Amino acid sequence: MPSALRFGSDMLFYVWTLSIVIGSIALATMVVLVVLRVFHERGRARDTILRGELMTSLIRFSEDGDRQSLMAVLEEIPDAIVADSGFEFLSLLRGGERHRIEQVFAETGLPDFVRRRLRKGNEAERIHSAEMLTAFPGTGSVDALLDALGDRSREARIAAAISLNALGALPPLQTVLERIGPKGLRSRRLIDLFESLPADRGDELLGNALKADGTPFVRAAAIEALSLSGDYRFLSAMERLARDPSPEVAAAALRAIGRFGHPTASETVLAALGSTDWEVRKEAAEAAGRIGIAEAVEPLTSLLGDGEWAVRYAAGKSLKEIGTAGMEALQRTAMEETSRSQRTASLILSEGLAA
Amino acid sequence: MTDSWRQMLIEVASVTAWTVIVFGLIQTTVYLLQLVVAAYALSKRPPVARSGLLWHRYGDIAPPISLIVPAYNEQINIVESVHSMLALEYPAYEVIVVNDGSKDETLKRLIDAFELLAFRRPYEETLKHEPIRAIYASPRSDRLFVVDKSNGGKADAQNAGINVSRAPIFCVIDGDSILEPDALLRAVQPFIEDPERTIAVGGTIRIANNSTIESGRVKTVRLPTRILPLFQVVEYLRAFLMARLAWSRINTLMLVSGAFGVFRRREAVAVGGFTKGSMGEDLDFVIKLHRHMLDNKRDYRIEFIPEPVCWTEAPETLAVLARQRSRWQRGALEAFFRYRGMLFKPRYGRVGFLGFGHILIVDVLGPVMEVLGYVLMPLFWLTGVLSTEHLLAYTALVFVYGVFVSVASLILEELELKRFPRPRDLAILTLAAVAENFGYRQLNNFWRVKGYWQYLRADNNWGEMTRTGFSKQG
Repeated sequence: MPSALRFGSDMLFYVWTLSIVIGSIALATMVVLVVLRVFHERGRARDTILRGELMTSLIRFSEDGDRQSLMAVLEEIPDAIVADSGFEFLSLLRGGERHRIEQVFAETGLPDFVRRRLRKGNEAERIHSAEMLTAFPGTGSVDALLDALGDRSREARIAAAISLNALGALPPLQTVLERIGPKGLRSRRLIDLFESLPADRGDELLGNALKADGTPFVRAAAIEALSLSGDYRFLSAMERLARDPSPEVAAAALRAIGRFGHPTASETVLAALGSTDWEVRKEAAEAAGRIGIAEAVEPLTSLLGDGEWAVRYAAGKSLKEIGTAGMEALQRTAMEETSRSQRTASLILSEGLAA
Repeated sequence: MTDSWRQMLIEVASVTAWTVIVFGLIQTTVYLLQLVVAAYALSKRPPVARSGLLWHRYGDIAPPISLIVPAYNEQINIVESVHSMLALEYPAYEVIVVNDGSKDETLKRLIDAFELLAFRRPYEETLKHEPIRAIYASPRSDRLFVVDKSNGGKADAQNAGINVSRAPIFCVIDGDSILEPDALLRAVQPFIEDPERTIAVGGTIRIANNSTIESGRVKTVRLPTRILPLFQVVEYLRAFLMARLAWSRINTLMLVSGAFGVFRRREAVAVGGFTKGSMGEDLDFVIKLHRHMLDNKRDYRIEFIPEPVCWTEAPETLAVLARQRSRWQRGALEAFFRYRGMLFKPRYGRVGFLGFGHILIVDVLGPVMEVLGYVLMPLFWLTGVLSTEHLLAYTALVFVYGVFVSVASLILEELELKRFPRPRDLAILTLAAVAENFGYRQLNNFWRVKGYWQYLRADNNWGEMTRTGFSKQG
């Protein structure tokens, strides 16, 4: 037989043999998995019973405050179940009731278990452990969380930063952002971290917002957090940022100005209504409505014919918010000849339940 | 027959047999590679957090979402579906049901069930669609809007929904589907963790036939008792778990199912929305998104994540299933030939080579080569022009590797997700994974070839989908 033909024939045989081998291995594996599942289900049924006992004890403790009974139950239940189900229960509580249960948890081996899991668990467990440690203040937890700022998962690093902040032990913001790393700085969870910073650390946020070489996403998140503080001393910085070359930063600053609602920023808002970027124009239009800038009626009326729907809609809504002058402008435009502005005005005026 | 004729016939048969076998080898290699990448992706995927934790973690920062639900003749399921959508665990969302000129009582049932009133809602007319007749709102829920429009097909209805929506992100879901309560919170995770790059996310579609559904929620998960939906459970496992996970891992996901997909509105509008009249509007749409992002040299992600689950009713009869599969095939061919310019074009990188290469092998050539093999290989062997080795190799490629790929997908599911509640279910699915390769797969390929024929004849009939209705199940 020529070698080419023999190779072809051999190959065909291998295709067949290999298929039988891997097919059989797959089927055998599946049989093993079915058997393992039987045991797994039994284990799960046991865990469900233990979870039920834990929940009953926690509810009873919330009513009678009997620490000894709760401690006795906690000693019988594996730490992993207490950590998962116990904290799910805690998330439903607030104030003193939550604090009392946290204190009982702290007296068990649970804090050590959670700290160990923060180091050695899988990613989801590490993130959850970082969140749980806020229930156990103290140097042990703070040290574990500081270590977790170097975790290989960026979401775990962010969770550790948020928890450190909750424990009042967050290192300087710049250090934290460097530890989180550039990929983590794309996450919206960053907004959570920034918004939870105490008021006396606003200057650190401002530093990040003003950092011209910072990423627009981080700067915008910092501006967003500052805007929620309602602290007027940041207003002038926001006005400066509203002229930033990055549209994302400028738009965030205008949103902040709108939230502050202070009339001294009117000039900045009026200038931004003429921006070349539609998102900036939209935020400026919304800010004009929130502040109630009467001088904005004319430029807002012009924006009713803007090329971008979002800008047109924001302008129309703001005209409504400004009051009589704005409403009159809307009604006047709605009565004009058919145009984009006219359509927008009539749509805004007719919004709501049909007569 | 003269010797020379016989010799020529043997040569032709041999070349044909080798072509079919080599093609089968290529196709099998693609499936095996998918399996390896999917296993890697699953192993790297962080374990799932419980929904309570997700709410605690993402409740304040989750972006608003518009849930767009095109509905055409969905009177049986629509009220139940909308109830389930209004009970989702998500902080900020609106439900926009688009009644696409239904001939049945879809709109009336919605009006009655939710006491809908006509509502004037300004919206951007960016995407083209058939005229909107009215928009309704419910005094019982400020989340619900119903758009009543002239019939224009699913893509047209989705475009109307996109126009009316106001959130930066929208989710499309079929009117006959039920989302798990935490599905949106899970699906939105990539938009939270990487908001600048993520433009689309797909979740898992699971089959609800025979499961118990109460108040718009799947209460007890059971395997279908009928054989056709049972085979489809295995098929969906392969398609959603293995294939999509693998392609998502290498950022070459070509399909986010129209039954449940989450998209960023800005990009959806930029590509002109869904292509009207398309048979596979979801595939077409995702290809357009790839093209738009690559043409504009933007860094982006289109992701599949297995945790968010959308339940759907699978066809239970051969006739309905045949129509669905022929339509899917027409959709794939339509999208492939419409965007054929992207195939193997360096500017489209992985999407052009791997994504389109995959469609070429699996959807364009695959069914034809398989059906050709079914007919010719046994014939050649019976007439003595084909050796037994050839036939064995072919049998291995069609049946045994098929069994391996299906069972291996089930292994992955069990190792990483464990979503089938009882050990007995696993045993039944293992049997189904073996059995579907003997008859069902061949039937499917026959329907796909039929779809090919309909595509060539430009037959654009969507075909009626007969529903049993969730409320009667379980």
